[in-house]
Amino acid sequence: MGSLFGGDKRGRHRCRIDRASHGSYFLNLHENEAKVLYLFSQLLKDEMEDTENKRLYPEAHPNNSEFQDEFDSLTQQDLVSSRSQALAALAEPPSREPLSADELSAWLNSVNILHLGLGAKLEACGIDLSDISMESIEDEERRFQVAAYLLMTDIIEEVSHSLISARRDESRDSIDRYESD
Amino acid sequence: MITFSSMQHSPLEFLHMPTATETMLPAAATSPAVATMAPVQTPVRTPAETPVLDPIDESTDEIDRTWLVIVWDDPINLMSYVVHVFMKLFGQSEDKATKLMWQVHNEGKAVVADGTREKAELDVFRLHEHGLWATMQQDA
Repeated sequence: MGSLFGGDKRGRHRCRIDRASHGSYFLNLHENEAKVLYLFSQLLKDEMEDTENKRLYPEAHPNNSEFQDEFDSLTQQDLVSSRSQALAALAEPPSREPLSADELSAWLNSVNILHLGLGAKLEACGIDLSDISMESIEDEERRFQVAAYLLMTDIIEEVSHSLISARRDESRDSIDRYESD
Repeated sequence: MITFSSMQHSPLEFLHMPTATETMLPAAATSPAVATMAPVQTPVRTPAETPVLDPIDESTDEIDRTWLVIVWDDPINLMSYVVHVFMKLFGQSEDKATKLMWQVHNEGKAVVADGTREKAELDVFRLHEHGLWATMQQDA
């Protein structure tokens, strides 16, 4: 039986990230995973621009409205643009070309912003994200949203670990170089 | 696709980029108010010659206190992602970033950076850009 999001016939996990030489990465996102990201990047477009949503646009100065107004006047437009760029990055299939660590990190940030937007939407519907139970969700549309949320969770986890591990190797290499000098 | 350069150099960053002095020294050390109040540098004078000093300006003192950047626990951002962001934004080692992440997770919040108000606002903005829930407050 085939897997909707890849993996082999024995059910072994398919790696989404391959580390190539010279610190670059190949992003092996399954076509259906890319479609889910694209779909939700379109569905959540308007909600992601809602600056009243404190999950997406948290306050820097929750106890000082004067400072908060100043902060908003300096940053809010940049943050709205940043959110919109993040969604736009997911509107196209990920590049088949090798990505640098910085490019992969920017892509990860985009997925995380989408995950945040969808998480905020689910939270607002009363779903406990710290203990998701699919069985307790009766609404079909909501179940689909939760499934997509969990898929994004999985992607973020895998890419984050790859980037952390790459930094760990980099710092080990620089210690080795320092000691050999 | 968002490029790393666009993430790293938002217009805000140029507005608020701290100077090398601000980055390397605590806020109090660069404060003109603190420098002018140092009593050890005042020469010994007779009472008649002693200039009358202005009372300490409480509002200036308030402004000069260090600002703390606080990251709060939330059920959406993943632990691994938070570690990655701390390492990326603050150049922390994996150990330090992991310890801070656990502090956020277990205690509900952690101070991840400090500095002048401008620097703290930039740090908070960058954390928000990465989807983390961050606020700032003056050090008590």
